[in-house]
Amino acid sequence: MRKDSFMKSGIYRILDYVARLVILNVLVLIISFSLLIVFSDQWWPLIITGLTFFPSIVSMFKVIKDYEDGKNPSIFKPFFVNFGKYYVKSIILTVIILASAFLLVNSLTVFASNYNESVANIIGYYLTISVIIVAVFVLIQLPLVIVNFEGLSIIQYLKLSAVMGFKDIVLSFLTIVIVGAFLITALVYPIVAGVIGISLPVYLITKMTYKRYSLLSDKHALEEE
Amino acid sequence: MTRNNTLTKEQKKALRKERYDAIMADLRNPVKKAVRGRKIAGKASSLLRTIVFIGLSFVILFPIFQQLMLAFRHPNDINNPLIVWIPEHWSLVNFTIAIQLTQYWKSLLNTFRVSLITTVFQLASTALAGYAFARLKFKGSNILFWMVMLTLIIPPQVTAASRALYFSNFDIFGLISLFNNGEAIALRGPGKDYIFYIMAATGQGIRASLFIFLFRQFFRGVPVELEESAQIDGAGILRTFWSVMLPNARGVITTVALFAFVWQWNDVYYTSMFAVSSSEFPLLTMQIINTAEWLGNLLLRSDLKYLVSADVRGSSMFTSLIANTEAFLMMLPLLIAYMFVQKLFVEGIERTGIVG
Repeated sequence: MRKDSFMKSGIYRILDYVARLVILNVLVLIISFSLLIVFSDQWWPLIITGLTFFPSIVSMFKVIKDYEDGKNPSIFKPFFVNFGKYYVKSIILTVIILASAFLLVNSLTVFASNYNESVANIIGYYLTISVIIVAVFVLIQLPLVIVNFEGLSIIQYLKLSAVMGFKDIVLSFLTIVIVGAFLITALVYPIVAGVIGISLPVYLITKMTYKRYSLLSDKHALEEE
Repeated sequence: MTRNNTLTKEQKKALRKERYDAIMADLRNPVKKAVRGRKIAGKASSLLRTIVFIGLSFVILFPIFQQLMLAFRHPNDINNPLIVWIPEHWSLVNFTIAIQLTQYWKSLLNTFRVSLITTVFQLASTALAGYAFARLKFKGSNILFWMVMLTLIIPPQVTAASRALYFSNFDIFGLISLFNNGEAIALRGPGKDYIFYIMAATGQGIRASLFIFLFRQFFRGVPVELEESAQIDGAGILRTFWSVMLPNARGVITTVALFAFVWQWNDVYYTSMFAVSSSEFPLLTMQIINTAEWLGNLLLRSDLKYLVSADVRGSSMFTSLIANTEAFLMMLPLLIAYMFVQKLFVEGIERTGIVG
């Protein structure tokens, strides 16, 4: 009886959730960063990180969303199932993201270094910054759009992310703030990133955007064949 | 095996497009858009309200905060550029100096007495005048009323000289000089606080015309049937006023009383014009002005000069520091009283739309 009441208590639920987040965090770390940590002096683990980081983040979003929906309380199996399910799309998106990031950083560097030379450089500089802002808004929404709307093409995901990113600009801005805050925390205190630094912002973002996405995703859910 | 696997590439593409279009159509839904727009507008207006309220509160509270911090700052810190708000050395020296130089307790008592008695007279005279203008119609009553209103528009400086002269040689149709060895009496001068009471009792107090207007407007709104029923019961005009009209006028009485009290408390103009304040009968407002003007001399004459060094004593910053502390001490009773009558005060402002 006492065990039952403890399991129903708020403290238990909070601790249970924290444990889940820590496990998910460790899963992402093991999949994406373990080799990078072990072979820190080599360059090739970076490829593994690049190939697994975004899919594992998407998978984490999906696991947390399913738990919030009350669909699936497990962690390990759903994580790897979703990892495989979204892998191809995520990898393609990773390539697009990395290519865009490279192009944008390159443009910014060029425009910034020639800033005082001509008006075109000034316009290009601010234009690049604007595009970066838009790209950040899209990137923040991308995993959420992928896990909420299944069966769309890559281009449609990108377009929908842009729409969702600017639909509720305050929420998107808050999301960016959360991610930024956790990135800074992770840089200053790497141990925080190791324990909960990835899964906690993912949980917060899912929770914040849950209402907005769940109505649409429920309505447009892909029928189980 | 899922149904998707049996579809051709074109069919899958068409399905994807259909789903995407459905999601986008849902996002573009005008009803949802309107609801979202309303929500955003609500949030934006709430945010704007919050910003405005914070700004207003800041504008009102910041000077009080600054005054408080200055009052507790030790005089030796006045030239310290590092201190902006919070004092480095907290001290009550400013209060000691201010209380002693202004004869604070005596001034406070006198100011309170003058304000209270004036308020009572203001209430009595303006309520009667307001009732008369509202209900007792006689030839030229409207002209008289608008003449009263004219005193609200005319600045007090216009009538200052004639008033000062009138009260310096006060006489009523030669009656006073008849019984005073042929001489008028001087109502104006040190310690003669009854000049305020006379003015208030005769409807000439500070902004009395405004109070008359408020009472008139209120009494005009009271149903005539109430008075008529009182008259049927045999009540005369004064009895009707006292027993029927006044008990209903609680709100306007509170408003007038509060404003009359606060304005009299803060009055400098009439107090200095009639030269009422003196060392025997000090009033707070004049004491602040006097000490600010003669601070150096006053300090030298008192034993307080040892509290601060000579270079600080000569500084104009020190003068303003002490004047600020005195002003804070003057405000303090009103601030404390405001905590108790806050509800009435706000009600009064709401009801009449005037602010002190």
